[in-house]
Amino acid sequence: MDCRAITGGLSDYLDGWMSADDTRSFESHLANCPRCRILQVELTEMRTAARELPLHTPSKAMWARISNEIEADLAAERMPNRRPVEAGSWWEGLKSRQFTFSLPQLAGAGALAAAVAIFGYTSLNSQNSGKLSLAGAQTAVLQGEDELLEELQRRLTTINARKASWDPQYRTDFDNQMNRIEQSLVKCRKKLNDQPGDKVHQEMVRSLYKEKLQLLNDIERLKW
Amino acid sequence: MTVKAINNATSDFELAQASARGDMTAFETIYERHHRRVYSLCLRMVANATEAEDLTQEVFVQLFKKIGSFRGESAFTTWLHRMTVNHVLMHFRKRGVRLEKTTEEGEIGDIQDIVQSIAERPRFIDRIALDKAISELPPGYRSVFVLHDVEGFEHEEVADLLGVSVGTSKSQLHKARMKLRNLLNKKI
Repeated sequence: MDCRAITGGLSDYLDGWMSADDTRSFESHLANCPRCRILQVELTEMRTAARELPLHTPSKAMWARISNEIEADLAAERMPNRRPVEAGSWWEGLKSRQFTFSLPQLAGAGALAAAVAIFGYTSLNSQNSGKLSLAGAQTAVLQGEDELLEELQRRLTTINARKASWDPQYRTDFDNQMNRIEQSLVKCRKKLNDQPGDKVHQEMVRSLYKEKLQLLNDIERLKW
Repeated sequence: MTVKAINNATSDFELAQASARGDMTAFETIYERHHRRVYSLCLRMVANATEAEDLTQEVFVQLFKKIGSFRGESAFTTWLHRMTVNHVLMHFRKRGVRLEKTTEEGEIGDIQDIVQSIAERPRFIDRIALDKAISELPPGYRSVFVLHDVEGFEHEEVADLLGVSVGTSKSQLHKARMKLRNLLNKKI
């Protein structure tokens, strides 16, 4: 057996796939060839190291994303009498949106929420319209939350005023989507009110606000 | 099962049964126990942190839906890992990732390349360097190496999962090991 054969058959040897005869020839070569023996030691060490690799940890928001998606799925299953909509339509995509965000999306959502909050705060101040009545207004736990709520309410009021002219099914689907988000928000906010420092629920609330904003953005973009 | 009833001694099977009844606290405990293994497996197979996070999320959502079908006949870890591997492989198929073409004999390269720099080889394998080198393998080699050498699947299982012959699985594993060895030696 030469060095090339040893190199080619080393994994079979290490994994115990070699016949007894071949193993004898193999070991005879290894005993007399320092280079092949070093190669054998290296691959053996690599196999051992591969079984002891350190575990990696995903981002802390991972559980929030998973539980959000599961709860959204469960809520969707409980929703009665959903009319089937043509597969692949833009509305299907819009209303089947789930709370599944990658980290860059979450980062983008954070930036968007901040931008909207700043814009809303500035524009509301300049228009002196702070007397808006906010349904479900609550004590802010997240930075800029009050301003964001005002902005969401303002946009929702504009959309609600136009809703009467929509296709009834679209209107129902939109309302269902908003209710689904709102229900999740109420649940998360409740937990956050109990434990204001809970980073996981802070992340969930931010994700839900982002979802709400995105839904309103989509509706505005459609110019209904 | 109540929240108070869950502790370190609660078995995965009990948690799975409680999760199947909609107990999110039980499912969160399963997540806490296994998420690092699942994420590490995804990360090693796709070599991309964002994709690995998305896949981990999808695996746990799928796990919640299917957890009622876990009957405790095998170890929960084995069941979950097989589900994870299948999910990642499905992701590869959707993305059009293919195993590298190979013959059962493989192409090992010149013996001189193999033994080059052998004198300067490390006395022990740096695990972080090995992890990094795994991420640099082509996807097909990486899958076989991760499944066999990291996760401990047998060649028959690897071949079954990847839809290749046992010979191809062995051949790709050997080439992956040799490539890793060269990558590690280059980093010295």
